[in-house]
Amino acid sequence: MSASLAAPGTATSTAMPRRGGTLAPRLALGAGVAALLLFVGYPLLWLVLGAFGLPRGFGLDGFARSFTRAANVAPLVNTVVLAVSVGLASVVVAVPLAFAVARTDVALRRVVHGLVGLAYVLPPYLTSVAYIILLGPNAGHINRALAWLGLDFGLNIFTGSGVVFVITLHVFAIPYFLTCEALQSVDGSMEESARMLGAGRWGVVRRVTLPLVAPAITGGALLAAVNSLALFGPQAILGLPAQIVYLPTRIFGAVSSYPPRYPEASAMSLALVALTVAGLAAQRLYLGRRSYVTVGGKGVRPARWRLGPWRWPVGGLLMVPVLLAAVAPVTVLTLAAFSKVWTKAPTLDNLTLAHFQAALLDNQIAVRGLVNSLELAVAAATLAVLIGLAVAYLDLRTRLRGRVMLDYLAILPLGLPGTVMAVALLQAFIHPPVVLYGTIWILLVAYVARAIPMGARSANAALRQVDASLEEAARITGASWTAALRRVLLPILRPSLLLGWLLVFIPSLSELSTTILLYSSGTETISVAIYRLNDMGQLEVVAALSVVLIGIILVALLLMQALAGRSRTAVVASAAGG
Amino acid sequence: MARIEIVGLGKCFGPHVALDALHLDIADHQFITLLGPSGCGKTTTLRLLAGFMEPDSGQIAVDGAVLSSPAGSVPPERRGMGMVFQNYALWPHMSVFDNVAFGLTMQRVPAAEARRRVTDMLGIVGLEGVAGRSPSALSGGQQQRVALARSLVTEPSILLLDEPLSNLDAKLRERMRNELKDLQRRTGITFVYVTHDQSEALALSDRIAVMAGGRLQQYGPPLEIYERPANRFVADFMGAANLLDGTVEQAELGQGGAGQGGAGQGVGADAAPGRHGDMPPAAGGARQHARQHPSQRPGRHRAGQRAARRPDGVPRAGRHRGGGRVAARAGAARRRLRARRGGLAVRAARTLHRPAVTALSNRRPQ
Repeated sequence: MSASLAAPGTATSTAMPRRGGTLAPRLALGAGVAALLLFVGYPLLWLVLGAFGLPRGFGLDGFARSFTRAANVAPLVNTVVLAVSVGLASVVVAVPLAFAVARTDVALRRVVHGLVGLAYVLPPYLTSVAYIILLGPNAGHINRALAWLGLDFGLNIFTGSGVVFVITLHVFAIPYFLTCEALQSVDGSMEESARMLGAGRWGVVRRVTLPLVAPAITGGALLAAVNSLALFGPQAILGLPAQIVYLPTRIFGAVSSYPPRYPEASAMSLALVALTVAGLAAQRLYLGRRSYVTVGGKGVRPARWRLGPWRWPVGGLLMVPVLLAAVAPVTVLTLAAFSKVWTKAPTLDNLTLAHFQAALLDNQIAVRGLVNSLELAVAAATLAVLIGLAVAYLDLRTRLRGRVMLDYLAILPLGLPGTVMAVALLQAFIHPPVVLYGTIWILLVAYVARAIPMGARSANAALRQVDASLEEAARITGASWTAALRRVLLPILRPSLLLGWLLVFIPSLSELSTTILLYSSGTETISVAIYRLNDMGQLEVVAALSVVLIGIILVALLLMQALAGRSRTAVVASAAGG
Repeated sequence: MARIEIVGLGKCFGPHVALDALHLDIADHQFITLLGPSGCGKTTTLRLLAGFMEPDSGQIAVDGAVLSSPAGSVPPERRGMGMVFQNYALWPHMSVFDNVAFGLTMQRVPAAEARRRVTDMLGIVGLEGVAGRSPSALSGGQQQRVALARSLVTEPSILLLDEPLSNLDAKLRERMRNELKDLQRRTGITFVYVTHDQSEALALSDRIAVMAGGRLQQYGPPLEIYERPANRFVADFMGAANLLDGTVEQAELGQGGAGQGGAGQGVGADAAPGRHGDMPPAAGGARQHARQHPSQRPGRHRAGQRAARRPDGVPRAGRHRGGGRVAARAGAARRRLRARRGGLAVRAARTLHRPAVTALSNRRPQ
C-alpha cells in the first residue's frame, strides 16, 4: 500500500460554499443566446412589422396590395403549382430508385447512391446554367443533336416545366434518402411473414413494404415541395427570361425596384412562410401520426432481390436520372469552361484556359466573389456550429428555464426561405439601432441565421452521443467547468463538430437566394458573380467559376466522407468507454 | 478524516420529490451503502454529495464545513472527492495513463511525480501493462480498474461509487467486490456506495442506508438491517423476505397475543439455527416492528400486492382477502402459518448467505 494513499487530501475542509455555476459557462451560453436572438428573433420581428408598413406608417396596405394585384396573384399560383409538381415528380423519380438501390442486387447501386448525393449538393443554379447549355432553345447541345437527327421537338428549358425539371433533379434526393433509410429499417420478418401467408413478391411490396414506408415517401415529397418554394436560382435564371414569376422572384422584384416596396415584399414573404410552414407542419403531422418503421435495427435485415440477368439493364435505367442530375451538368460545365466557344465541339483548337484566367485573376467580380464566399462560409460555419453547440448544451445538459423556446428559435429558420430571410434582415439592419446593410456583415448574419438549424441539429446529435458522466468525471477529478469543456467534451466532439461544420460550409459557400438581395458593390459572392455574369451572357466564365466552386465542394465532400468514418469510431469508442 | 453529515437534505424535480428530508451521519473510514430500488433517491443523494446539483433544502457538511446548501455549493472539482461511475466514464480520446493522470494534471502536480503516482496506482489496481492503451481496448473489468485508479490517484478523502459493479459479469463482480472492500480497508477512505443489490450491500458495508420513495427507511449495520427490519419495506427488500400475515387477537404487555406470539416463535426456531447464534430471536424484531408500524408508516403497502409480488412459491392456501381476512380466526391463522413454515424451511436451507428474514405485520380489523 502506498503511503500517499493512506493520507487522503484535506483540501475540502477549508473550502467555502459558493454558487455552483461559475461565470464562464454563463457568459459563453449567454453569448450564444444573444446571437440567436439578434440573428433570428430580431429580423423576424421586423418582417412582421414591415408587413404592416412600419416604420413609415401603419396599415394593412401591404397585405392588400400583395393579394389583390394581378401581378402578385400569378406568382402565388405559379409557386403552388411548382411545389405540387415538384413534389409529385420527385416521388416518381425517387421511389423506384430507392427501392432498387435498397432492396435489389442491381448493378451500379453504390454509384447511383453517391451520384444522388452529388446531385443534392450541386447548387441548383449551376444545374440551371448547365441546362441552358444543354436545352437552350436552338443552341442547346441536345436541341442541336436532335436537329441534326432531323428531329425537332423545340425543347426549351426557359419554361414552367423546365423549372420543374431542374428543381426536381435537385430535390428528389430528399425523398430518395428518406425512402432508402426507411426501406432499410423495415423489419424483414414482417415481409417474411406475409410471404409465409401466401403473398407473392409484388403482393408483399404492395401490401406490406410500401404501406410501411409510406410516411417516409410522403414526408420526403412534402420536404421536396417545401424546398422547391425557396429555390431562387432556377426560378430566376430559367423563369425570369420567360417572364414566369414565382413568389421569391416577385419579392426580389418588389425589393429591388425603386423605391423598394417593403410592405408588399414583407406581406408576400409572410405568404411564402405560410406555404412553407404548412408543408412542414403537414410533414410533421404525417410522420407523427403513422410511423410504423421500426428503428434500431434489431429486426431481421430484409434480403435483397436477385435480379439475375436484369442486374445490368435495370442498373442502366437507374443511371438515367443521376446522369441527368449530376453527371451531365458537371460534364457540360467543365467542357464549356475549357472551350473557347461553348457551342463548338471540344476539340483541341477550341481548348483554352482563358476563362479560368478571367474567373480567378482578371474579372474583379469573380475574384472578389470567390474570396468573399470563402471568408463568409468559413466564418458562418464556425459561428453556426458554436451557437448550435451552446443551444444543444443548454437543452441537453442543463435544466435552465426557457431552453425549449431557444430550441424552437434555433429551428425557426427552417421555415424561412432564403428570400424571406433576406427581406427580414434588410428591414432589421437597414436602419438604426443596428445598421449592417451595405457591409459584408449583413451577409454573415444571413448565412449564420440560415445555418443555425443545421448547426444546432448536428451539435445536438453529437452531444447526445456523449454521456454527461464523461464531463462529470472530469469535474469530480478536479477540472473546472471550462477545463472539462476544453479537455474532455470538445476533444470528444471534435470529429462530429467538424462534420457539422462542413455541412454548413458547403451550402454557405454557394448561397444565392439570400445573398442576391443583400449584397452590394464590393460584397459580391461567388454565387452573385455567377448569377450576374450569366445575365451578361458570359457563359464560359460562368462555367469556369462553376468548375472552381464544384471543385471546392467535392473536396469538402471527400473530407466529410473521411470524417464520417472517424466520427463513427469516436462514437463507438465513447459508447464502449462510457 | 472525513465525516459526512447530511441534514434534512431535500431535492425536487418539478413536482416529483426525489429526496425528502434525508438525515444521514457517515463516520470517517466507513464503507456505507445507499441501498434501494431505482427511483428511491440514492443516486440523487450521491449526485448531491458530488456537487453535481444543489439541494432545495437541508445541507451537506464534511468535517464541519458546509459543502452544499440551498444558498450555494462548492463545485465538484473543489470537494476533494473521487467518483466511480456506473459506466466508468473513461475518456475515449485519452490513453489509460492519461485518464488516470488527468486529476494530477488538474492539481498541477509536477510531471515526474505524476508519472510515478500514476504508475504506482496502475500497479495497485493490477494494470501495469496497459498504460498506453485506449480504454475502449480494455475488458469491462479492466475499465472498472482504470476508473478506480483515476478516482483514487488524487487521494480523495471520500470516494463515491455509483453502482460500479452492475456492468460486470457475476464472477468478476464477486472478485471486484472483495477488492473494493480490501481497498477501502487499506486506504481508510470513506466509501459511499450506491447499489440496488442487497447481497452487495450486505457483503461490503459497515452501515447500510435503505431508501425508498426519496425517504430513508432504515440506517444501520447490515446485520441489524437484516435481522431487525424497521418496517415492511425493508424486510421485503432485504432479500425475498418472508412476510407472515398474522392477526393480533390479544395484546398484553410483555407478551404477544396468540397469533403474533405464535408466529414469532415458530419462525425464530425455523430460520435462525446454525447461522446466527448470537442473534436475538426474530420474534423480537417482529414485535418491535409490530409496535412501530402503525405510527411510522401510515400509508403502508397492501397485503394483497405484496403477496402477488412474492417469488417464494409459498403455498397461498387459506389466504383471505378483503373482508374475509378481517374475520380470520386464530385457528385458520395458525393453519396458514404451519403451511408456510414448510416452504420457508426448505428455502432457507437453499440460500445459505441469504437467511430468511421474518417480519410479522400487524393487521388490524378496520
